[in-house]
Amino acid sequence: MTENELCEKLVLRYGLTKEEALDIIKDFRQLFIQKLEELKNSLYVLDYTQIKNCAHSLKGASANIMYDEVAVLFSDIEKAAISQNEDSIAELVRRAEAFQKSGGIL
Amino acid sequence: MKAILIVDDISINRKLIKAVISKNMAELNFYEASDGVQALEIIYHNQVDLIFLDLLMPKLDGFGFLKEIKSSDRYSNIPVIVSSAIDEIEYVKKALELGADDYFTKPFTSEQIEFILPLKVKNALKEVEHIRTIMELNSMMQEEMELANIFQHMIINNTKELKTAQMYGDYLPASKVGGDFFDCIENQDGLWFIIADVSGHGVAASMISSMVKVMFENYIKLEKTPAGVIKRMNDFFCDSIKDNLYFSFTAFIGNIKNNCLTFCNAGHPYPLVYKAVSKDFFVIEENGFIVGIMKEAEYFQMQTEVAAGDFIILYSDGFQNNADDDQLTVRAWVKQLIGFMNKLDMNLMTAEDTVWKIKQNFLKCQGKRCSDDTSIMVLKIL
Repeated sequence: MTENELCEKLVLRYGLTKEEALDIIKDFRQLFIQKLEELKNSLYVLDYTQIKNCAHSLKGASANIMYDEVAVLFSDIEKAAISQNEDSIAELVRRAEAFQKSGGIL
Repeated sequence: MKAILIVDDISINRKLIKAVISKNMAELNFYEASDGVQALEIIYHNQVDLIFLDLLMPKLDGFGFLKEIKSSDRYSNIPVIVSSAIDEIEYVKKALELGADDYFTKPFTSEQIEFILPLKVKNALKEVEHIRTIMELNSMMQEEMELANIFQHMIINNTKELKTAQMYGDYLPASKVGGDFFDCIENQDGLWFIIADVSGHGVAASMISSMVKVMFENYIKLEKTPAGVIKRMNDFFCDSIKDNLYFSFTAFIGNIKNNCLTFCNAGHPYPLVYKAVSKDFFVIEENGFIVGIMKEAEYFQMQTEVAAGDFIILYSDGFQNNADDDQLTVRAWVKQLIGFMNKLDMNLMTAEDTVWKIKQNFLKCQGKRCSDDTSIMVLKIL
């Protein structure tokens, strides 16, 4: 999804102005970077609670802005953290990083 | 202007909730907090009318925050709408059990954004306004009642300087004010005294008891006998009945002149008299119609001799009604009272000592609220 597409979705769903929608997308970008970093650090020390919390935050925020692909990805990480599946979490985190590198709004 | 506090550690979520609400409602002030601790700080220092609360947050989570405010008298009335990405029923149940008013799962659906959320917010704000109005009115009423309590105690004197008797009384209303009343007045016709108990408790009863006081003060100037005073009071109350409003009261009025006690009883519990010469007690078992019930009621009076050192003990049925044994009759209670009084050396007692002894031994609601207005007045003839 491009930034413009997401922006339009937000304007339509929440009645935001374009500037407000862009501001929210900017916030999301920052949140994604910050939480993904926290998540990787938590994975390094196997702090599953912290992994779950980071994934939960990103899941909620991405669902709220209707960025469904990201929401599904972090929902899976949250579930993997609850079942303490280290391999699965590592694989999903790699996908999140690839997602970030692939462009789009991130 | 109403104020809404949005508590969520993710700024995007706060902004979106704010956008949804602002779109549907004008003139709202928003506060934002990223954790429970910050949210508490905001409600402690600002008037907040509604809270949107996330559950998983750092420092103090949504459950901790809910516990904190719902256990506070001051903040427990602020409605809380939980908005969380958690949809597990245990979380929903716990949040509602802790006092949350509603629970929304994020992300919001378009129906929730369009209709449900704005309506819930409007309803919650209306409710909080109603609660605040009730609390303000309640607080005003409490202040009024405190004042009324002070004024009522001003018109019911515990003691009075009298030439012919020692007088001491005590009055404990069931609520801030009540319908019991006693008084003593000396005039050229001797020593007059009254004890009365208006039906019911509270403000209406206290107003009637104030009327009884004024009537007593005036009617003893016009009438020469206790029966005449009670008859006048009965006429007044029976004539004043309007729109099925009935006010009745029991009263015992006495007059002591030249060692002669003349009395009239209108349904009041029987007084107790202690005779110093014979060192024994007797009960004045005379009765008559309660005041305010029947205009045609006739009131009779009796006489008995009294002398220096004699006691007249008058009390309301609150003593018996507040007793541990709720089957206790007035007669049985008086029997207990006489049994207790017989153990005392009455010749050494003052009117005040007598009141305190009776209260100590028979007033079961001391230190807490009585279920019925309770009063006692003791006269010791000089």
